[in-house]
Amino acid sequence: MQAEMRFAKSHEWIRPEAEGLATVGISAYAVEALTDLVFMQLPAVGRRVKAGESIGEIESVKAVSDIYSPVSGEIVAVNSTLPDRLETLGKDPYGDGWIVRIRPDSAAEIAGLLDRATYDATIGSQPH
Amino acid sequence: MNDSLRDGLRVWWDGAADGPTNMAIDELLAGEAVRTGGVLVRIYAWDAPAVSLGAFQSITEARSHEGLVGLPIVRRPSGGGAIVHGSDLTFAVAVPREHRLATLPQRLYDTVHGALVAVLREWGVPAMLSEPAGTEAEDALPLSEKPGTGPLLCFDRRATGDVVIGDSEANPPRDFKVMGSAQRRLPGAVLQHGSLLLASNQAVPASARHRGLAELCREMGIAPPEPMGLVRDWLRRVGGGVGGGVVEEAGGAFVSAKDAAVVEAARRFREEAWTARR
Repeated sequence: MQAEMRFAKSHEWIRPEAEGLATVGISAYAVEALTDLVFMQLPAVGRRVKAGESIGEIESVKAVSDIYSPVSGEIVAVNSTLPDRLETLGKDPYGDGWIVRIRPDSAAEIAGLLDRATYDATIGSQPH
Repeated sequence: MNDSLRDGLRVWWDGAADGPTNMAIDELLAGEAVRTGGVLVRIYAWDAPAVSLGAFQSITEARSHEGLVGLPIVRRPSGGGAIVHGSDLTFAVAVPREHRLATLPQRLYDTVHGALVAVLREWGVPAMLSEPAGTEAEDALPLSEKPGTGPLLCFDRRATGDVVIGDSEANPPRDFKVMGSAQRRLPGAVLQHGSLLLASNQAVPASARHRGLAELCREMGIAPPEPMGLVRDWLRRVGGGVGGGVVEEAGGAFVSAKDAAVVEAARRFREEAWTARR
């Protein structure tokens, strides 16, 4: 399943699921970079979003960051318990730390995102 | 580092404005960092004592705080705790996302705060970067121990990398926070807001207990640094950390408070929907 996971340059991941849905979260790298998380705001279920549009915000002791939708579509579910257990993002960012489920407008949009190897190379080449 | 990025630090000494205007200009500052590929610092003031609230702090808590009654409140796009402005030096740093200082939040903190620590030491002031322990207020636990909450005021909080003055080796530690910062990581740039507490603000009950640089130095028998000299030394040191020199620019370098873009951007920060978003 994880082989199908794709990444946005803005550090969100998306994984196709059954029935034309996809799960979205943020990468382990992004979670680690933010350090201690203190607050998260999730989008409303049913909201339509465009690729690159903010679907939520996350605050750490150090910074506030937007969470961007990697694809266009409709938000069909949110991980509503996540804001109360933000430590899950660090422990299991690609599993229980999922953020939203989306019904993408186009599967091709997912295919156009970065595969894991390319994403890993991207974060590995961040300027030092 | 991206070759298209400019080295060095552009410093803009701006004037005083109200909270929404200051927040609007800072947002435009971030846009200017994206446009120019350079690191920008804006030093500015407030036209009256005011409170800037962190992006997700409770407006109810701020408005019901007895020590803040009567003060205008503006919500920042950046995180962190509330700051009472009036006796502090307020600054905003904008860094393009491709810049090496923007990759990790702590990197920019350490560059900006570490520069102040180095300069304060040159002035004979025992400054250091904070570890998340030791407080000057009973409720000032490290935020990592209080996820989702924390003291309302920035200077009651303590995070790794805050600039503190005093004796952290003492038991219990006797050090006091004089600079804190918070970031907003925008799509094209990182915007970092910061505050250096120059002196205690006795006019505002909520912040009267926070010793500023002037009081702390006097208590330690040290001549307080001359603020403008200190700030210029600090900016030169930050410029060195950025990888170049410092270019100082007078107010209105790329935008003024009366520009239509500022007025329009400030509109959002005046709206109750923004101020009371949480």
